[in-house]
Amino acid sequence: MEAATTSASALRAQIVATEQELSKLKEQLAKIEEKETSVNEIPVEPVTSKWPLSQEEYTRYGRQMIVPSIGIQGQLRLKNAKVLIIGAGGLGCPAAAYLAGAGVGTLGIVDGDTVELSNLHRQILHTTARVGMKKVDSAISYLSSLNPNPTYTPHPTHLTPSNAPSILAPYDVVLDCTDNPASRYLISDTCVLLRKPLVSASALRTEGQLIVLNHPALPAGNELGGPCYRCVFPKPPPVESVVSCGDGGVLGPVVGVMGVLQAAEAVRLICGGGLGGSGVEGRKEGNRLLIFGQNGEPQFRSLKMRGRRKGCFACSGEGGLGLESLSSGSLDYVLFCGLSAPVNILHDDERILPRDYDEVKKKGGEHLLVDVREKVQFDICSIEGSINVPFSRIQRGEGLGDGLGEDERPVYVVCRLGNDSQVVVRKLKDAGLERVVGDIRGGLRAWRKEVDASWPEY
Amino acid sequence: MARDVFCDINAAPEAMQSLSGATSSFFPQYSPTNLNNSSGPDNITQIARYGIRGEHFDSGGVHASGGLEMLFSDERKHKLSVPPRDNQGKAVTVGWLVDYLCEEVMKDSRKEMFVLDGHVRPGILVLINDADWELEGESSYALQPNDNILFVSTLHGG
Repeated sequence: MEAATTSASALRAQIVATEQELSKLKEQLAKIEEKETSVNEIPVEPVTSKWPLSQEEYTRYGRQMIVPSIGIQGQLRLKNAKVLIIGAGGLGCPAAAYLAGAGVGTLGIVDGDTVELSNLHRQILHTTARVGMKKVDSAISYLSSLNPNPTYTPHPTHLTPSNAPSILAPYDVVLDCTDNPASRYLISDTCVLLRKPLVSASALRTEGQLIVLNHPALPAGNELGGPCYRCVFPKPPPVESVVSCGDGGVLGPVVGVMGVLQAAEAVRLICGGGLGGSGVEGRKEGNRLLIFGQNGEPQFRSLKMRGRRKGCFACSGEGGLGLESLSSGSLDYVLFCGLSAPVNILHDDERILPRDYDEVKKKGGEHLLVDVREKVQFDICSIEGSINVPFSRIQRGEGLGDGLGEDERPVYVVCRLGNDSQVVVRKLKDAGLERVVGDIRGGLRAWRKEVDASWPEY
Repeated sequence: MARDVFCDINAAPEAMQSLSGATSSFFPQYSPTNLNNSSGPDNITQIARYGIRGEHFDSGGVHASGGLEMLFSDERKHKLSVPPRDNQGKAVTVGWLVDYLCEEVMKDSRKEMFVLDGHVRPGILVLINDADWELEGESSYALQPNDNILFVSTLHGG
């Protein structure tokens, strides 16, 4: 068995290595081919042809080129455009696929993460065989096989204030496909400083939001420019209100829709020809925020948003944001948005290790295990005999519910990771419920490690 | 299932401002009446309806989305009836509505997830008839009949 596991993992490693090698080879080939073409095609009029595109390109892009809003001019603009996609996740994957397919000339992808199994339901460029591979490499491997024409530039790193300006500088349009407020502020600030229009989207559960920012990308201080992220959200949300896809969940098609919409907006910006920040296009349509909710009524709502904010820290020209302050690291975006410290509000004697709780359970001592995960998670898997009182219910002040509040049995509380359970223990104790012993340290994740290896980790 | 929490506000005409019996602690001059909701789409939760001299008026609706509905018993859509004037005789504003939602509608104890330091917390957009409330005078905007108020919590996932 062990030998089988070892050889399987060796094979997996070999597959990853081979995939990486393959993507490198493809990239080299693409570069050589590009050089060949550029040698043959300088200037835009190819020496060998009187047409600006190759026959392969006319065929490949024909279906979109005959759309009146694209045309040959739009296609050539796409070919000359450089688009940066920040985040090769649920938004970035579909966005990149459509932009590559559409024939954007240069596509840069920024991501410092590696592919995980839990990404695959929505991050459509990655594959099961590429789990463990860098996301940028996995993405480019897919994109090159989709369309070898564009130049793909991998940026296998997380965006930071010091590297953001140099990474963004060569591009014409930026897509924010990230998943946290700190990077959203950083990207928006950098786009304002470098005068790049920004297509920003986000998604969670069954909802998504899309907004085009800093378009037209006029210099800071020009109030005809499009608003930036700070104009719309001058202050970051409290850390405890920020829910990640890992905690809140997300539906693949929902985040996919938002990524596809980002690609559509980018194509519109590029083909519209207003990228130089000439100023008109953005104003005509006004500033809009599109919200999508699968269960919404209506499912799509286009909301009218404000323009640039007077005194905005980033785009008013008087807020104090500058390239130097950005690159020098004097702006700490993570600090600005707050750090989510692990909850630590219980005393040691109010916390029990999973293995110690298991002993309590095995000894058959009368007790009650309250699982405070939301019902949808409790339904996936639960410890035998535990009862479900969702965290949200306790927050509504409804206590442990009928029949449970009156009984004398000691109460243990458990949740997924051991944070909410602490909050609940404190709350119940403060409410005078003395039979509450404490929580299970580390939650069900620790339970899996210490006690039950079969516990489904979702 | 959860839906957008939106507020359609259908404010009463000014003529209705005289008061009747006091039962609500929050607006003692209005007495809630138990009227059947005969209008409006499905899935609208009737939160409150106030009768004045035997008359009543509907609100359009209040919607919350972007996870905000969790603070409102997982209901995204709330239909409200609001008085034309607050208890100081001033026109009822969006600011009033925010307080009302916080005090009367929201069951969750985490009030700071909706209102922080006396303001709608950072990260929540307020839309009046699908326009950013900053374009409409923010909290001082006086509610009009059939106004539609939307609270959107920004999403960050991707």
